Amino acid sequence: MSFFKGSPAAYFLSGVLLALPGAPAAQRTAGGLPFIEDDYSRAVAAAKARHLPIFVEAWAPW
Amino acid sequence: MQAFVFTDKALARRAGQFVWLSIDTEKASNASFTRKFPVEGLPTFFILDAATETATLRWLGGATVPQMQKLLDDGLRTVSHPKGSVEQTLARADRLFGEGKNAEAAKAYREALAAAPAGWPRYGRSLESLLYTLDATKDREGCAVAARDAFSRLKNTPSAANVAASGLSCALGIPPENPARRALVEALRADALSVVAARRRDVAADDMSSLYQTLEQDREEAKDLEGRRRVLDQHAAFLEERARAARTPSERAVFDSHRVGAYMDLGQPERAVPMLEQSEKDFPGDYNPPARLAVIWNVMKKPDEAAAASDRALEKAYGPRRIGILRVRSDIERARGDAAASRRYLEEALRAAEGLPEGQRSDRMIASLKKKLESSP
Repeated sequence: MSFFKGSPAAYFLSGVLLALPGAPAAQRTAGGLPFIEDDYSRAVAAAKARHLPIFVEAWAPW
Repeated sequence: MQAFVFTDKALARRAGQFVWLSIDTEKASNASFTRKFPVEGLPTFFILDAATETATLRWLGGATVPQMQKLLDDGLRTVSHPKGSVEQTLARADRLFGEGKNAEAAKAYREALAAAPAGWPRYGRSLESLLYTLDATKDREGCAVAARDAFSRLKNTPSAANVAASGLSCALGIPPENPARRALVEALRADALSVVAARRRDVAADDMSSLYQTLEQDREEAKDLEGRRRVLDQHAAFLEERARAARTPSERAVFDSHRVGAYMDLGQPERAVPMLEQSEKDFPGDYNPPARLAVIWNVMKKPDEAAAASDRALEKAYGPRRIGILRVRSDIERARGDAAASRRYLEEALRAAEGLPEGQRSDRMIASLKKKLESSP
């Protein structure tokens, strides 16, 4: 968990810099875990049906 | 995280334990999610109880695969009503933190840590969350003291870099007139330097990068420019070493933003050009490489190249990040001597900022753009 606010240059470039960014957008579906993309309602429905908790990654492409 | 962690085979066996949801916070369609759950930094991970649609655990920042494994274990624990007073206290702290109640969460994390038995496996995560909540509630002295006191227990764990960096950052944020500041800064600087010297491979790269950034801030505040430059050189070398070890273009590009920051702080923006041109080639749909090139070319006083890169970025950009790109473009046009175009881009940035949905809209950003427009010719 990093919550350093970043140097002026880094802050300027990324808005709020907390961690190294995620993979470029085009690469994000290549992972081994079955992520539902950008559909909270669908995730909640699936989790209720399967009696599972939801793991959420909130990210940004920068 | 997608480049390094979620693609790791060690996590694949956990696929059936959760429903996995990825939220791009830049998309307007996800503003309802960010209104409901506190995203104070990126990435943020949540464990949600689907029955109540509440967050039972929240984690800010990156994690290595082993840290993610522990986080997932803890996530399962938080939704299964843990037994034992320490575990129940931690579950309460995690829920409060998940709800964004940082002050209440800090108190509960303190209770859990005070009652923790020796060797408690959740000590590091709990302490890191405590430091975040103390910093977020501006209790910088409390944060620095907690980091200093816990460091010896965590110095041989993956939490060491973040504890030292967070603690030192908090200590530097203590008002200079506070007599406790100096000793805390000195102790936490020594801890931070010991983590750099240890060169542990099990520490998250973003934690190490943040540690270097904090040491750079420390040298800057001490007006030790030569020392700051030495740390920046080490920082750039660290990021380059990690980028060279990348197995894929996406693993390499993860380090681009921090490398750009380090090169700019070193006064050597030209070092970023080859890697950004490579990233733009590797990821033609990604607005980040041309957006960063626009900044770099402008700093290098090549505004025409900067404008061309900005055009390429704006073709693809969306959400709050687009506003930052427009703002930079305004600066580029000013450097080109076109005051009218500079103002036009600022006005476009303001319209875009005001048009963002609640959950993405930032009053601070809007105020800053208005102020800039007022002083724009």
